[in-house]
Amino acid sequence: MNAKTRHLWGQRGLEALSLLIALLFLAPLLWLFLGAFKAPDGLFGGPLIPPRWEWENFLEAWHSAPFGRFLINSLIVSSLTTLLVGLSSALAAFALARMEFPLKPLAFLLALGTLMIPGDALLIPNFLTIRNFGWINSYWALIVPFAASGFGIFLLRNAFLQTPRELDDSARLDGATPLTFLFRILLPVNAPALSALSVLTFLSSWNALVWPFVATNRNEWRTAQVGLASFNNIEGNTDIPVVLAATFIVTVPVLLVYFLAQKWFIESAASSGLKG
Amino acid sequence: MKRLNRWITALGLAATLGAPALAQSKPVEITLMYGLGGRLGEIIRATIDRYNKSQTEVVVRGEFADSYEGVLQKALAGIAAGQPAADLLQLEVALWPRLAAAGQLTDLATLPGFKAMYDGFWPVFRRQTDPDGDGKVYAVPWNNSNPVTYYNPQLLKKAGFEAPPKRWTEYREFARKVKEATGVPALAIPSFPWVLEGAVFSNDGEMVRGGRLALNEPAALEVINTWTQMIRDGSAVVENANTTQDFVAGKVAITFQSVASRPGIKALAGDKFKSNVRVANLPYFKKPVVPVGGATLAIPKGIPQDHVLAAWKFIQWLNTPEQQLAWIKETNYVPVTRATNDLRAFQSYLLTEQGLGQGMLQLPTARPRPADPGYVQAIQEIRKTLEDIWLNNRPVEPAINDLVNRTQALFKQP
Amino acid sequence: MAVARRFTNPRSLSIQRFGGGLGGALPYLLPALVIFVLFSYYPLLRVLYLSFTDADLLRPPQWVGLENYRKMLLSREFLGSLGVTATFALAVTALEVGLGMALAFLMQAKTRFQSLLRGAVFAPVVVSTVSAALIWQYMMNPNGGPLNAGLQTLGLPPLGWLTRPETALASVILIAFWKGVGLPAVIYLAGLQAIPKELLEAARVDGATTWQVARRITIPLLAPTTMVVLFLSLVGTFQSYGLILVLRTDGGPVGSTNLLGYHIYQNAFQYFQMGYACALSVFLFLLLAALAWIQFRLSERRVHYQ
Repeated sequence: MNAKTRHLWGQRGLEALSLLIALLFLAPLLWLFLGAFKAPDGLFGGPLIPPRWEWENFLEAWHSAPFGRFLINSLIVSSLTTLLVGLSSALAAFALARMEFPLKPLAFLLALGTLMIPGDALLIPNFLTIRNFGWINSYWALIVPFAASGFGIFLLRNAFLQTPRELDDSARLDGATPLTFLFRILLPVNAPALSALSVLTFLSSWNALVWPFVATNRNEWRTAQVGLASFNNIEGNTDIPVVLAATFIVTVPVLLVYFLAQKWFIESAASSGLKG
Repeated sequence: MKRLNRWITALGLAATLGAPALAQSKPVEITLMYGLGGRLGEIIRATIDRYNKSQTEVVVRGEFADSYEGVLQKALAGIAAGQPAADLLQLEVALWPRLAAAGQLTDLATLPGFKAMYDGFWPVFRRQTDPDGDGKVYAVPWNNSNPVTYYNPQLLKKAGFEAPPKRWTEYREFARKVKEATGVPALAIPSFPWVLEGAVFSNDGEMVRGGRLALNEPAALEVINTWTQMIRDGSAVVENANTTQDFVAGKVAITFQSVASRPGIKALAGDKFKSNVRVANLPYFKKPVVPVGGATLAIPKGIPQDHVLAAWKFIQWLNTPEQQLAWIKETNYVPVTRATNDLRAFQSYLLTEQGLGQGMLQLPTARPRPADPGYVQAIQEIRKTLEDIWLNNRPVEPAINDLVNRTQALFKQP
Repeated sequence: MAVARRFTNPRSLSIQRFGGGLGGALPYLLPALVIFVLFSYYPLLRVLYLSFTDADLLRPPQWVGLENYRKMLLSREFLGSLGVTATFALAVTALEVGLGMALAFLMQAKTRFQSLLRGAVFAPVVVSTVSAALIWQYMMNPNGGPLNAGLQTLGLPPLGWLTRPETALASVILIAFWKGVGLPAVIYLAGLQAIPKELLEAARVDGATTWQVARRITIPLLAPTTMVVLFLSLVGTFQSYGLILVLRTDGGPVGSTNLLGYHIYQNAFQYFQMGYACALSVFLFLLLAALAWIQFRLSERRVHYQ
């Protein structure tokens, strides 16, 4: 076997392996999509492709809870949280990376320390706080406690530290204020890190379950995850394809956005670790 | 019926017009926090709607808290905040005693018309909501059920049986034959100790006695040993999240579940329900006993008096025989008032399908579940121990003794 | 690294550039600081205080000193839960680092399916925990679920998955891995792409095999990335319990999926033991802080030696 055929074989092997692994990762999603269209008795042990496509599952799931509202709530909460985290992290990271001030190590430590605090342990004290603010059943309760991120500060500070100082000088010469420098130059230059932060923040906000449940009582303020989790109520539900249809409804919008902007997503997420 | 209601409402309105102060007063809005989702949640919302349309004094607003645990979590957060989570809470039967003991629930016995309503309950529900008999009542039964035997007559027939045995002592032989004839396990036994409570009570045993779990007493050990033998010889399996699916698919012949699981099982079984699902009484040892479970309604402390009264009115409405019947038809819970039983409509409803009245038929033999505040946590320990015995093959007696010892601290008075 | 930075950028210069002093920096720090104090550190202090009380959320808490901590250290449930948590965290982290890196190598290979592979591996990351738990819970149905059907096709015996104590935790780890590995994989991919091609080609010319190149050059160069992945994964997995909540295993069977986060949740909101739950939380915080500190020291040493 000469080097060329060996290379060809290697290439074939890599191709086969890539395809196999891709399919393994996609299989659960595929199963979800097909299962959501099945009859309850066809889900386990029945054929993989539904013999009859049960669109009724979706109607039933859609009518059993205001999923439209839930999704919009999730979208609003996750977007605003992402925006605020980006802002607060950029400001703090700028101070940490470009200014000298007393207690600077302490400030950085405080930011990093929040990563170590098991968030859900703070449920009750935080519940009391937002209640004192009158924020129960409001977007405030879902957004403000998460408007700053230790990880975000850490990520952007590292990115800023690695940005050449020559930029600062030219900005100074042009008479830029610190804020215009930060928003017009420093952040755009570090767009990859910022979009990494945005993707991760958006996803973790979208994912949140326990806090949104505690902080809201009414459907007007429920998020999609809370609405979906309540579907898994043993006493009430045995129609699994309907649960799968609800899961489909909640999952597909994000997946769709993801597949449309796959390259951007992956490149963004990738830059979160690069500058470590 | 609906039209008639509307007329009565209109007449009532006309009558109240004579009293201008009343007619002008705005309805009191109260919130009910409930923990049942899916189909049952829809039924609760429909019930609330019906009540709101039936009168003008009270507007109930339902708030869904995901699950019974969710209601408790929100209730606790509300208490910590000094502002109750809702005016009316749906509390699982094991959960309200702890809240009552801490003085966080309103004594309903002082409210107008209490006695008339309370005396109409089946004795088991009076005992359930007033276990110490001191006349103070902090919760009234709402959605209550007891466990029954769901069996697959087709599978039983293959082994030559028409119906499952009445007594647990006959189950071993029966289960072996069913397994032999069908190849599938005869029954699924839950590690959640609801069915266990019934079996232990039926064997003249207790779950809690003298400030500790009584599972190491002979009566309880006999139950656990009987079950363990069936699991170890393969004729029974441990119930898990998929058991209902398995039962409907004919992969296990018997499952013990709440009467209220019936609508769910029916939906799941579809066309096969009639031929493949039958209902029988819960088996017993010495005498028939079933535990009741489900949830109660309670009014937290610290809500305004007009809200207390409004919540109370809603509770009274729910307990009228007509509303009980409407509720039962949808959910297959058991009626909590005896008067419901006397409705002709109820009796004819029971005849429409096999096994509909099973839960009600068992009520005379029903007992409340243990009300000790420490029992909630003990339940998880019991589950863990039974799973250890059944799934890890741990010997019964040492495991149970260990369980009794390590849970003792839970039952000490705080 | 930070040390080197200071030499090339004298402090005086940066002060001159964009202000400084506490007064100058504070407005920038304030938004994040206010949030951290209000929603992280103030409640953390409350939790610390409550951990010395018998708080049950029903009655005013009474001071009990170290009782909760004593109870914790003597509790078999706690020790069991700690074991489960450590197993879960270490297993998920090891899988994410090891297979994350392996996947990155594969994702870098130019094949017809490169884009498909990248998309597929990262897709579960955008699926929520709730959705993931729901999907897998049904797939793991031991009777007729697709996973056991698959095993059967391969001629393998069926598994009990979440219903058996010996497989339940492994099942949860599998779900967490599926859901989580996409992120480390693409982070590694970015790390790989940043390695200069010339370096690898030079090694090849010297006759090194693919494996030698990976072991001697690529993996060491990825070390900083590994540090980040390790840190994020450990801190995340030690706290996580969302899967358990949605899978409704109740921490079982036989306590085999009783993650610490879930144990805390159960004590606080189901067992009326807020004080004890707070002691558990304080322990978890200290554990994570210690882990972070060890890791920080390790990475510092590595940087110094390089």
